Amino acid sequence: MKTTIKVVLMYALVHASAAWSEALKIEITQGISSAQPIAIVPFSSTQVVTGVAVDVAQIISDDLVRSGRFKSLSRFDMLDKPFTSEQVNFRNWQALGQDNLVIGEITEQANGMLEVQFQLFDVYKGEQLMGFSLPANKAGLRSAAHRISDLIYEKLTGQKGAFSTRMAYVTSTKSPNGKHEYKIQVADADGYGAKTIVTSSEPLMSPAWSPRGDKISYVSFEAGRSSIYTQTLRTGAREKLQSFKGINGAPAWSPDGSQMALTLSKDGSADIYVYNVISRSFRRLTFSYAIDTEPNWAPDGRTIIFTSDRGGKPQIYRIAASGGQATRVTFEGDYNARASHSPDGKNIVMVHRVNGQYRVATLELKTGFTNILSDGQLDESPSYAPNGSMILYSTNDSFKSILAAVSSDGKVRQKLRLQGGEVREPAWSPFK
Amino acid sequence: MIDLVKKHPLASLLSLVLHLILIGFFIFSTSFNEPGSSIVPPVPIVKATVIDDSKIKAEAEKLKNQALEKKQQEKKRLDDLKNKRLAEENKLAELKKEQALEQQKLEQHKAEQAASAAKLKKQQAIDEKKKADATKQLLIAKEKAAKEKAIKEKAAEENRAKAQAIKEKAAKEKLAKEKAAKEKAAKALAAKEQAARERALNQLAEQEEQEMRAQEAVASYSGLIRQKVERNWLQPPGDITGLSCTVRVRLIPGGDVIDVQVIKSSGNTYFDRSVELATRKASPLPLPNDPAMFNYFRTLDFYFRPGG
Repeated sequence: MKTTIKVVLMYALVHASAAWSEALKIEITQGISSAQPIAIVPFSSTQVVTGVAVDVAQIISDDLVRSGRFKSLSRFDMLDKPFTSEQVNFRNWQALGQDNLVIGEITEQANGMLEVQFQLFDVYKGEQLMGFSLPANKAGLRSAAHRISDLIYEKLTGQKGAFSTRMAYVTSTKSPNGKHEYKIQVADADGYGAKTIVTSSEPLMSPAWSPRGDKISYVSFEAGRSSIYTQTLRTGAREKLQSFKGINGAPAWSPDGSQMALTLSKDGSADIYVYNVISRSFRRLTFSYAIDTEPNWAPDGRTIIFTSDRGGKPQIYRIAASGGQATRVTFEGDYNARASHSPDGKNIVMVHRVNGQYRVATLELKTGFTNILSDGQLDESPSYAPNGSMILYSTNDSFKSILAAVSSDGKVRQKLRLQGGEVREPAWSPFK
Repeated sequence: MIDLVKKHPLASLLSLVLHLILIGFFIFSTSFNEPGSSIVPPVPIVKATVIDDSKIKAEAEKLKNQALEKKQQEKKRLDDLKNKRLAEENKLAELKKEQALEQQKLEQHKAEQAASAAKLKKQQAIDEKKKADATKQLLIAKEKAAKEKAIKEKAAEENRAKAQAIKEKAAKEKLAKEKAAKEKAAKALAAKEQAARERALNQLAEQEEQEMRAQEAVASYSGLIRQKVERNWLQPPGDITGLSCTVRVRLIPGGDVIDVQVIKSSGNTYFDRSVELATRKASPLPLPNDPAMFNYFRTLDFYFRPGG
């Protein structure tokens, strides 16, 4: 009896302790959605790299921070600045609460080429996650930096980085003599390296990238009325699309590049048409008496969304690319316009008016859930990054239109300060 | 002589019988020496048959010779007898003399015998007396021995009884003692068992209480640990609903995370890494001050399931 009790007790005890020691299970359901801490140590240059004033580490840091997924440790807070793995003391970086560490080194080769090496470490595990060596010429150092940002971003988020992509946007300046100058520019995704592809004294509007990123279509009023041009970036050659009376606007390439949706008012009210690039023929898609404009293809190319005031107020509708009955997509608010699909096709981003303020908002197509991302008063022309992580848009800052970027979850917003005057209608390029 | 006979009738009778036998011998010995003579006269033989004159003459001669012979023989026989009688008388006298002597001897012998008998008797008496005495002595001795034996036996018996009594008493005492001891032992055992039971119960209760306290501590520290890990869990961006990941975390006293292993992957590398990182970043995890409690926290399984 006694023994039995003892045995039972011991059994219970052993098992209890065994059970505890083996299986104290703690369920974690909450987390924080803040950015990942990353420390990017200034890349060392053992030699004086002449003629290069590029801070690679800073470019990487800015890229990653702009994505909203990372927060970068200030250089002033770093305890040391290693540039080889032997010099890394992980405890220091743990003490600074850094999850990730990037170190790098730039060396100049005999032929004048540069070698950019970098290593990414998991600070808490104390192991290298990635290490690469990239060749670059002095002019291409920024690109090398963006490339490294892409690699790091993909390694840490599983999502392809979009830092080596570009953006097109429209600038307008007003000279002291009262003359306007309009430009379409193409710049790196971080706004650097802007190049003007077309200049006009008449308004330029609605730049749109071809799916392969080698061409940009836009609307120009240079001929006194609106026309659609398609310009090849590499050569600068441009092609004018057949124009009609009235509105010729809002070009949008189909994902396979064989068609272009656009707005024409040749038949009365503005309607959506589909232009076949190969046959050079137009096909009318919508037949309403209201204004139908701003078409955008779904990533699968099967449907097109557009803005229509057929219900009295501008709302987003969807129609099959082959035609048919349009169905309303947005129901929240009395103004929803300028919609475009996220790369995965699950969401659309649009200008959404709330309390008289025009904001950038996303709508989850499956649920109809609207998420307002921007906080301006007149935010316009949202455009998804090709990886869906960010959205570029234009916003008003001190009575001046500038570009801004917001992470697709709305947590990180950043204004892009570009040279020149007003900047509008950004369009994010596809991946190269 | 009569007194003597009276006094020794057996001896006297024996003596008489012996004398008679002796006399008998004398008588019979004579008769046997002269078979068919003197006592019985010879009987003439008559023969009626005449055979012849010569024969008668021879006969008559023969008869005449015979008669003569007979007369001679007779005369000789008488002489012999006379001699014999004389010898006999002599012999008898001698015998008488011998007899007297014998008698004398016999008497002497008788006397001697009487004396001897008396002596014997006396000796016998003495012997008897001695014997009696001896018997008596023996008896006494026997009695004494018996008595002694009895005493001894009695004593022995008593001793035995005493011993038995002592033994019994001892046995009884022993038994009693044993019984008492047994009872005591039983009591002690019962008490011990009771104590053990109580102790076991107390222990159980204590253990339960301890277990309860431990569980409370485990529960509250689990909560603290959970909070700290949640504070350190940077959820990966994007849609993570439906993803879950379990990591096994090993701690050392003090709460430092020394090892994190993904034991059930979400299938999403970045989600898994965020989970692993969260547990590593949360190091050191809050643990109870009681080092004994550490066993509960030595190995922790974190089940990351965003949104609950």
